[in-house]
Amino acid sequence: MTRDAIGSDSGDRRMHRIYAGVIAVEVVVLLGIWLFQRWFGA
Amino acid sequence: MHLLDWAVVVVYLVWIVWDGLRRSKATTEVEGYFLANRSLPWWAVGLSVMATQLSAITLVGTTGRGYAEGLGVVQLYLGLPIAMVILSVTVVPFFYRAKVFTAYEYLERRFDSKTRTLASLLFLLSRALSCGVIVAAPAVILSIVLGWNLTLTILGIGLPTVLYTMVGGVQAVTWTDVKQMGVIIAGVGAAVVVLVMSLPGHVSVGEALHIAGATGRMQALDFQWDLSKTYTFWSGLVGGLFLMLSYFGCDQSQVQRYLTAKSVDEGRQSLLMSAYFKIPLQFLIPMIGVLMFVFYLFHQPPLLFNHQHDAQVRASARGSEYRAIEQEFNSAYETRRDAAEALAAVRRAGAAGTLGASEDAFRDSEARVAGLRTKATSLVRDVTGDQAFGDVNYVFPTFVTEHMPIGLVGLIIAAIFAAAMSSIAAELNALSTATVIDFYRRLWRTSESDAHYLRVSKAVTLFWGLVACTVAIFAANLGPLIDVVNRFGSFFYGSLLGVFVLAIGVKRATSRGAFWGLLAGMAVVSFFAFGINLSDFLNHREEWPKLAFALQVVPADVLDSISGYARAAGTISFLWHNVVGATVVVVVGLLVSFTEQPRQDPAEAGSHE
Repeated sequence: MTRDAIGSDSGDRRMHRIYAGVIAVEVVVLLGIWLFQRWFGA
Repeated sequence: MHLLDWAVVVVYLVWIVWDGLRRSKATTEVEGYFLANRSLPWWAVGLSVMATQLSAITLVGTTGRGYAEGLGVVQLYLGLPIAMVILSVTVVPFFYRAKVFTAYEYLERRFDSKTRTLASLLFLLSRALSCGVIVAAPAVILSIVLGWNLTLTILGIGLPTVLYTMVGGVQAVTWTDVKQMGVIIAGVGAAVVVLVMSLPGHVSVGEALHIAGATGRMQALDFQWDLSKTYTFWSGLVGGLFLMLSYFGCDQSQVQRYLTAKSVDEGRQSLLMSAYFKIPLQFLIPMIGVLMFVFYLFHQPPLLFNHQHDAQVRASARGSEYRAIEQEFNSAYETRRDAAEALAAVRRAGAAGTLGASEDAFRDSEARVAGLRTKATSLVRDVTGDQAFGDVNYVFPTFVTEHMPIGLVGLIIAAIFAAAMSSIAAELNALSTATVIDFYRRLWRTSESDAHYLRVSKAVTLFWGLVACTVAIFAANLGPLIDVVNRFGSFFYGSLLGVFVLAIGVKRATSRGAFWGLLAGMAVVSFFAFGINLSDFLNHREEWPKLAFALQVVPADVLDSISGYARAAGTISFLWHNVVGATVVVVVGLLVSFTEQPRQDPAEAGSHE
C-alpha cells in the first residue's frame, strides 16, 4: 500500500515540473553563491 | 532606547496579540484549533513554516557568526531544497490523507502504541526544553544590551505568545507568523540598508566586500572533506539533508504546519516555498554580519560587545590586565583601519602589483585584533566562570542600539521578538496537540465531547507556555545547560527519521524492529554527541573512586580503546549525527524485523484510502 500511495501522488506531472524547478533553482543559486565568493576574493 | 522605538515595539506586540486573539472566532472545535479545518492557503502555511524555523537564536547568533567567521553558515541549508522535494513526494501525501493530527499518530497505525508513545514523549521532552531555550537566548542578550530586567524580558516575549496561541490555536499561530515573517524581513532589510549607507563615502560596497573577502569571510562554500568541521559543502548537503528531513518530516511543530493546508498540493507548495527562499534568506542574514565587520573596520568597536561582562572584568582583580588588552586593542584597531583604507585605495587605483602586499598587511592587522578579542574573551571566562561565553552573540544587538537610526532600533527589536514568538507559538501549539491527541484523548479520557477536548487543549497550551517561561528563567542562569538541551534535540532527530523511513518505506519492518532501532539509534548518536566527555571521563577514571569498582570489571586496555573511539566519534560535527542516527535505526530495525515472522497483512496498518 505504502509505495502505491507514493507512486500515485508522484505521478502528478505538474508537481514533477515544480520539483525539477526547485532543483534547477538550487543549482543556479549555488552557482551564483560560488561565483559571488570567487569574485570577492575568497 | 528612544520613546519612538518603545512605541514601535509596543505597537508590534499589541498588533500581534490582537491579530492572534481575533482568530478564536474560527476555532470552535478541536480540528479547527489544531488543524484550522485544513483550510489555510499554501502561501500562509509556507510563511508560517519559514517563521517557525527562523528563531531569534538564528537572527542574533547567525549575524554574530557572520561577523566573526563569514558566510559559511549558509551551508547548513544546502540540503533543504532536496529535503523539501523528498518530503513533498513522500510524507506530505501520507500524513495528509491519513487524516492524522500528529506525525506520531501514524506510527501507531503502522507499528504499535509503544512506538508512538516513545516518539511523542521524546518530542514533548525535547521541545518543552528547547522552547524555554528559544525564549531564554534572545532574552538574555536583549536584557544585557538594553539593560532590561531578564525575567521581565522573558515574560515580555513568552506571555503574549502564550495568550494568543492558547486562545486562537493554529489559526492564530499561522496568521501571526505571516505578519511576523513580514516584520523579520523588514528588519533584516533595514539592517542591510543602514549598513550599506554607513560605509565611508570613499569606500564602495564592492570594495567593502573585497576587504571582507581578504579575511576569508566571503567564503560561503567550503568544499573541504572534513567531518569535524560543522559547516562544509558536504556536511550541509548530506548532513543538512538528513537534518531537514527529520525536522520538516518528523517534528510535530513543522508537520502540523502543512497539515493545515487546503489540499495535499497546497501542503507541498507550502514546503517548496522554503525550498526557493530559504537559502537566499539565510545568505542575507550572515551577510549582515559581514557588513557589520566592514562597518567596524571604519568605526571603533568595543573590545567586548557584552557590556555587562566588560564592566564585571574591569571591576575584578584582573581589571588592570583587561585595560592593558584594551589599550593594545585600540592601537591594533587603528592599524587595521589604516590597512583597510590602504587596501581599498589599492583596489580603487587598480594597482594589481601592490594588491597582494596590501591584503597581507590587512590580514595581519585583522589577526592581531581578533587575537586580542580572543584574549579578552578568555579573561571573561576566567573571571566570570561562564565557560560558554561567546561575545559574537552581542554584536548585532549592540550595533542596532548604538548605530541604527531612531525608529529602526524598535523595528529590529520587534523583529527579534517576532522571530522568537513565531517559533514558540508553533512549538506550543504542537506540544498541546501531541499531549492531547497522543496521550490525553488516547489514554485517559477516550470518549469526551469535542468541547471538552477543546477546553483541555487550551489549558494544555497554557500549561506548556508556563513550562517554557519557567525553563527559560532557569536556563538563562545555567549557561552550558542550553548547549545540552540543543544537543538533546540533535540525537533524537536523526533516530526518529529512521523510524519514519522504516514506517513509510519498508513494508517488512515490524514494530519491535522500529522500537529497538529507535533506542539503538539514540544510543549510538549519544556516543557521538558526548564522545569527548566520555573519553575525558574514562581517561580520568581514577578520579571517580565510587565508580572504580564497576570499571575494574572491564580490562584497562578495553577502556582505553573505548576512550579512543569515543574521542574520534566526538570530533565529528553534529550535522553528521542525523545521518548516523537514521542509518543505525534503519539497519537495526531491519535486523530485528527479519528475526520475526512477517505480518499477515502489513498493508492494512498504513492504509489511509
